[in-house]
Amino acid sequence: METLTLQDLQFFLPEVILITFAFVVLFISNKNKSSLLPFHLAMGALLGALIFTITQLGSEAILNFGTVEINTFSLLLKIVFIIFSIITVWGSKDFAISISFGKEYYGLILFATVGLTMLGSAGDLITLFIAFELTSISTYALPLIDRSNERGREAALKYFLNGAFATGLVLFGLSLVYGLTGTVLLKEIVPIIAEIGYEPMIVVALAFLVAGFGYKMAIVPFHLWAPDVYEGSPTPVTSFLAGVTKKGAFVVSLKILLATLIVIKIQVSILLGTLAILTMTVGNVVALMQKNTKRMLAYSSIAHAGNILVGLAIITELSVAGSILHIIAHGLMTIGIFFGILYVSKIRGGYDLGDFIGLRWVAPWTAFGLLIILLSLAGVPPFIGFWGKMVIVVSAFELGNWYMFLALALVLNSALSLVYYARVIRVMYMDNKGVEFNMATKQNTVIETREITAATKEIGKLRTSSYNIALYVCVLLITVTGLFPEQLVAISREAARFIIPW
Amino acid sequence: MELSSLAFWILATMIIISGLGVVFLKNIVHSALALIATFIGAAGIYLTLHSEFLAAIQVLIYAGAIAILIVFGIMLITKGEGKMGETNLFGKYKISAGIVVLIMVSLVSYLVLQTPWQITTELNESLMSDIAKLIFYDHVVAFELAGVLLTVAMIGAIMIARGVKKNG
Repeated sequence: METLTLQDLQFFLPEVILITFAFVVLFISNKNKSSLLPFHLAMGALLGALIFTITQLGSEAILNFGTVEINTFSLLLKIVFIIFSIITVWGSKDFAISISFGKEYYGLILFATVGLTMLGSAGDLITLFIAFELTSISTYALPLIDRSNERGREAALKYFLNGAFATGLVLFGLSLVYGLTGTVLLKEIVPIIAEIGYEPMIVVALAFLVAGFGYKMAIVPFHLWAPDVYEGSPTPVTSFLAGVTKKGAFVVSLKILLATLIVIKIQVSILLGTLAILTMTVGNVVALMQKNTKRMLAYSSIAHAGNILVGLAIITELSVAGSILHIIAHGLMTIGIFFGILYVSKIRGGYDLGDFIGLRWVAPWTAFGLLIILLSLAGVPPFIGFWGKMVIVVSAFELGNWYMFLALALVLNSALSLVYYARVIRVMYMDNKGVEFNMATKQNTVIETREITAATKEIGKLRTSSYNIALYVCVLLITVTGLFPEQLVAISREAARFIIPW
Repeated sequence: MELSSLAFWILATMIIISGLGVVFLKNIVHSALALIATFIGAAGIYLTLHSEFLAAIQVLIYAGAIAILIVFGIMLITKGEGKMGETNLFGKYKISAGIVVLIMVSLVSYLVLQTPWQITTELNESLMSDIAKLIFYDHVVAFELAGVLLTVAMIGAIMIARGVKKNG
């Protein structure tokens, strides 16, 4: 517990690299739009940050009076977030060339990554809040990055207004916590709150925090902005928002809620559990009715937020580990699948289910990658999406009681989600025609069939598109971590131990 | 009644009245002026708490810089007379919003009065050097991050504004 020394600065090296390169990317010449220099700089910065973070593995430190903590939790999340950003930047290569704000795109993503890496290591409310805000503010302008996309404006405005409102709620909750405890350090808040005991004000503070983070995590009933923003934004941006920055909100909630809820653990558990069941059910049921895959995946990501919340509601070491695991898993799957459907939209012209008809013959490898990610999203073993849910369910069974309902809801919802994931798979792997069950009229209707041959002339050029590369990288990671999950589960458990204060 | 608590009540009344003025005045420029009065009242409260530096900063930054920014913003975006009613899209939800806010405020203020807050009678950090120590020792990481955050906000804002000009 002392002030920063010169030796401590090594722990900030990843962030320093990212910030420096973000400025370099922004300041290089704008003349040559198709230049790959911003892309190479951004990738270099992220890889450098990744390498320096990996060299810190195993070290443990409390820096600057406890406002920054380096431990397994923070390092795991740093590595995860940097890898997510690498995949996003890699996949967006073709996108960034096509827009007029290519280097701003990379710059903002690098800044958002700085915020995300600091989230894991922040040890007090102020640093945590500012890191979280850095992530949010960097992404507020992203939906507007492609000016040819008219719907981006609506998305950007909705994202900004909802985000600003949520930030206000969070800040109010945090100030109440500070007022009650008189400290901003997470490690000191826990014993002080335990000593104060039950106070009605803690409930109010938690209500503000849950509502504020609920907006950021897009859990029901605070989810209404998410589908519009995810559908309206350019797809690489959607993949970054849904796959990366939204996971930041989960990390903050894990840290702050675990530190403050020690006194009213049972009540919070019931509150979060109810919200989780609501979120999963609403997300999945509404996703069932979507014909636009982008919108369907937006609702699916709401449902997955519910899955992660189940782990948060159970509040044991294992369940929190499950949440961390599912955060990682869902991040990978979301980034991959959005880049996958972006590729499909490039060769077929849209995101509707009808555009996926017969994809197996048009782009076999993309179809196969999408198949794996869809199975993983539904929680089919042996992919990583299965293990996150598995760990959460096991932790619920360990406790028994009403937590069994949570586990049951999670399993039933996974089964429900398989329906709409399987619909995409069926459309991709069936012949030229697609049949869909219409929720409104309760009967099967034939989806508009597109000419396969006409729209696919350009495919040869697009096959090595960066969108596909991002998809394949995600598929690879999902499969490898799914086949050998022991290591990741063990690390997640160790990480969970660092943020559970009792 | 002590003189300092008299000052508090006068300032508090001033803040509340000018705060209500911000919301209820019909002309948006008058609202902005009432907002400046609110800021200055808050600076007065800081003075009664022996926090002279914060009071000076409050006047300089909020009553000075931010209020001027707001007035400039109003000047640049207001069309016509600047009547509040024309700019408020959600005016028709007045009554329901009033009910919700009333319940919320009464609940929270009841709980605020019930709660034993951590109250210090003496401020430890009233001098400039103490505040500097807090910012540049205890919270230096957050301070640096805040610098990055403000730059990013500027970059985003410039990006949005520049794009609009280009597209006409």
